[in-house]
Amino acid sequence: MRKLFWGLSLFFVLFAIALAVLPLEQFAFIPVALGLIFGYSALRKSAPEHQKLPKILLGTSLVILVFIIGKIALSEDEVVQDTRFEQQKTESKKEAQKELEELEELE
Amino acid sequence: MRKSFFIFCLIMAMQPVFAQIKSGEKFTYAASYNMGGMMTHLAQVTMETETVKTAKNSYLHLSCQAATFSKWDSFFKIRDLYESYVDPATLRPNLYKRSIDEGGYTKTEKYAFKGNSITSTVKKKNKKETKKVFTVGGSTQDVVSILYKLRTVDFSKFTAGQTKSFTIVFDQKEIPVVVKYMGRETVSAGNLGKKECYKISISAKTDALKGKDKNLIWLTADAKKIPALIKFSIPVGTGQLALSSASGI
Repeated sequence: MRKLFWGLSLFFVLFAIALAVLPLEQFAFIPVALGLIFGYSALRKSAPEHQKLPKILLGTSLVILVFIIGKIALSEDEVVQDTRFEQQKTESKKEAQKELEELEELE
Repeated sequence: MRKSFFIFCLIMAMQPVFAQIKSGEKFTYAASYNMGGMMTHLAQVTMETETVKTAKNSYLHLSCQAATFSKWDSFFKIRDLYESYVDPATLRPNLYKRSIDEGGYTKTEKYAFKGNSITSTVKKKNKKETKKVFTVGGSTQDVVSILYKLRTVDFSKFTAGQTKSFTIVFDQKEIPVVVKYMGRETVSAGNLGKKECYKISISAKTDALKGKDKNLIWLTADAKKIPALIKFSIPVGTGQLALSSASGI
């Protein structure tokens, strides 16, 4: 049972890390919570000499939790200045002006 | 005298159309997509209007741009540009352009309107450019100008459930569009605060939109009729565009 809790905690902690690194941090709360629950369960079931690993998993879960909260609170939704896209828009407008003039000539 | 009075009345009758869609408008939206029940902010959508002049005419340039937020750019970069050049008075399109780049998939489209005929040019990634000439009805709009045309409808006189029909051209096909007035609702409209809006349902005979009354638009219930919120349901999911800022109105 201890090994099962340990394994599940490790799985959810790794899953939470992946989501936290990707722009999907808001989805990482559930795996972090599960990582904490299974890590704590593994700690409860472990003899004192085997508690090092569950403690590491619990600690890692807490660090990820702080990271996610910080990322959500501090990161802003912003669009970077894309010079290629800006250039494309300018060129498109210039082309359109020509095309409109060609259409007018057909009238 | 009677003639000048008639002209005056005609100008006054046309006034709302001129007044509503102004050059220099800029609306910015936060586009969110429903991922596992959670709305995830994905991109910024900007709708702008601008006057474009040629030697003979003056046009209203309606543009709609979508760009993913920087955090998504490394995973799925979107840079879409939809443009329509319309008659400022009637909002009838003369030229429609679409250039999309969605995660590396590119497509460009151009529709040149000439009377009731459209000459379309389409270029998809890794495919040859195709040209087609087809005829459409006299009041057919493109997908950009229809949004602006909708803003010229006087919904204050509508009763809940009342509909109005339009025709748009999309993917080289004419598609009938029915808009249904569903009543009034107060929604958040970005820097404009909370606004009472006309809730409109849009349905079209196309696979691009899904569900009944699932594609909705909230237009502020005032003379400007600014789209404050847009909810959409497409084959791959649902999402929304929430107004974050409106300027030049």
